[in-house]
Amino acid sequence: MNAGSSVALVTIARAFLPVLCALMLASRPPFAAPVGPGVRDLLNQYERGEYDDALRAMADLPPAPASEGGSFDRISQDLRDLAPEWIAANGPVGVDRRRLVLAAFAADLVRARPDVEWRLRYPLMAWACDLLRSRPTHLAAERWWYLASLAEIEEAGDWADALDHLTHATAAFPDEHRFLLADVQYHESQTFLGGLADPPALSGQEASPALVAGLGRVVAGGRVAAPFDQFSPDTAQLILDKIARIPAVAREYAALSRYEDLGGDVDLHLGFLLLRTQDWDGALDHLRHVPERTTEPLLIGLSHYFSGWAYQRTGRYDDAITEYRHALDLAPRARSASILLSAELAQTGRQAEGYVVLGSALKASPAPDLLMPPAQRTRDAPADPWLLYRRGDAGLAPTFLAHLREALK
Amino acid sequence: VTRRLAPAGLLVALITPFAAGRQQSPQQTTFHSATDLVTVAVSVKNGNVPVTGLTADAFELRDNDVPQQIDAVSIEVVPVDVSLVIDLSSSVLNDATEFAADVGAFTRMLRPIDRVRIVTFGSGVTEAVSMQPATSTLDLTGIRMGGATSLNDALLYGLIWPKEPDRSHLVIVLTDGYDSLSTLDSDSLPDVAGRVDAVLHTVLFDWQGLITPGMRASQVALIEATRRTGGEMHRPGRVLDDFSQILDDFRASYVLRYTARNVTRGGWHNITVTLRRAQAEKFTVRARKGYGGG
Repeated sequence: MNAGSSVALVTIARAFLPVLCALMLASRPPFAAPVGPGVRDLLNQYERGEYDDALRAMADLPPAPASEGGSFDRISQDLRDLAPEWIAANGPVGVDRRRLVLAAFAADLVRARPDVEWRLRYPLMAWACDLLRSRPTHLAAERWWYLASLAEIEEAGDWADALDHLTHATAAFPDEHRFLLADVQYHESQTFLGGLADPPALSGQEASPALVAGLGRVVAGGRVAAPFDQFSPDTAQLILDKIARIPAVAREYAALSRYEDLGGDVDLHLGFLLLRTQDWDGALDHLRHVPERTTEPLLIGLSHYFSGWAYQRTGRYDDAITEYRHALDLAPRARSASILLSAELAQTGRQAEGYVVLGSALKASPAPDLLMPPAQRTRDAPADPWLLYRRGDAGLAPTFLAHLREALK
Repeated sequence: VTRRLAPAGLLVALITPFAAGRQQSPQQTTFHSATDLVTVAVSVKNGNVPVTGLTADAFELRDNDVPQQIDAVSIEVVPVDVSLVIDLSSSVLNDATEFAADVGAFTRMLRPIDRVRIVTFGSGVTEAVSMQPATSTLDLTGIRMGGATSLNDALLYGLIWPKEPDRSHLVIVLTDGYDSLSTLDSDSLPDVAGRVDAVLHTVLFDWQGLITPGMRASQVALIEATRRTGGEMHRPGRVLDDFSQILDDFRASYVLRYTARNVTRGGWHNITVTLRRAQAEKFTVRARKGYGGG
């Protein structure tokens, strides 16, 4: 072949290459295998401590219809299939660590794909749990795995799964105080009025004496005015039963106050329970101690948010504004705090400022995670702290996973 | 004939209103908290009929319970900023094309000096059309219907539009009144509404589904919020007729001006407006309940 014919071939190839590529792309199935590292490569990357790259690759897997699980099923199965060989690859030395790495990888993978329905992700977490339960690693980092995985399951909002997993976690680490806390958090969840589909307004969890009295009149068959006129006696009794559990839950939290590491959590939850019963000053007494007893920004931010609510409901608007601002300092994208801050600014004659605050919050894209349909969720959309409150340690899942990865290095 | 605005997935209409030259008509305005000069919009009706011909002597106005000298009463032309707050749930919107046509027709009722914006709400709250002259082309492309109802949050966003001092702000909400997803609770909505610089008129549609206690509470709160701004509730008729009636009511309001005296300038100011006339009890007087001092 002479030079002239080579040039001609190259010219022809260049001319048709884009067409060829377009045809190849068009012929790909809609949810084709990802172009990039396979599961084994990702796992090895993760095992080497190259977490940022591995996590990015997990999140960048091609999108799939939430109802089908799409690529998640495939990668999940790949991980299970390669597990025995991968764990044993280096011989007996380091087997325990590699099993924990594998379980951590699964936990991160489950979290990396919030666009996939939870019911399709949970089996991978359960598989990882079985992997560890079948032969505990006896590594200190395993504690972080249980904390992280429980928090992830709680975030999904399925308390049945969470309770099941909590049993395993407690069996593995019976001295872990946060597992004791999780048990009480579950009991608290049984006092919540309505499900997550209910309005996220704090007032939706009201358990005030006035509410109890009104519901009591409904149950007794007496005449009632709005809003009680829409309750059936059965519904009213159901709500009363939930509210009746609050004092017992408060006692359970109070009993946990002997554990210093739970001090911030206990005060936050006791404060919220008192908020629900409209004991405003009692709530504030607990909430103001939270920043002294924990360094966790999520808990401190929520204590300010709840304090703002107490001040707002008692007409102390400037104090409410200060508290909401503190909450936003710690969680700048917390839509709930932005909305209530803007309302208070408007009420105190600062309407223009309130408009700016509210506009920014409403236009934030993506919206807070838990407000989004699963298919639209991303890792870039942190959930609103208030929406996480009712989901146990869900807000701490990223922290626990970070500790786990650090411990595995 | 009751007409519902229609469900359909997507609004695709581009609306190009041509504001007709209209006779100057009375306008409602509110008060300026940035200075000591305060203006208060007051609606006086005998049944459903606006009462005209009143002078300053007819009114008694108290600012934080201190009687004030009314400097002027006028029914005048003040530019209006209108916020249309639209519930995207199927109980309210039935036909996207009709809705777009109604909005277009509504903007044609406004004058070139007026402005309009559209806030829609379902699961989220969106400023579908930002505040712009009524003569502008309103792009309603992309408004999608359905989802839950963030009524209170949307109303907050609608009400706190920071209007300029020389303009008035009218908020018209079309909704079934049932909130299911807001952060702002129903107890707080009337408090906020009573303190912001806007007049709220509500067109309340029927809802045929299950009503929870929370939903019922939100409807009660909406009615109270409307009252506190000096606005009124409306049952849905033809939507254009609703818009027209609300605009007529708004424009038939008096504007009272006074310079606040013998009251502390800062903080919240309660305002009460009553009629001195002997037949005052026959009339309904609606005015805002106060303002935030500068």
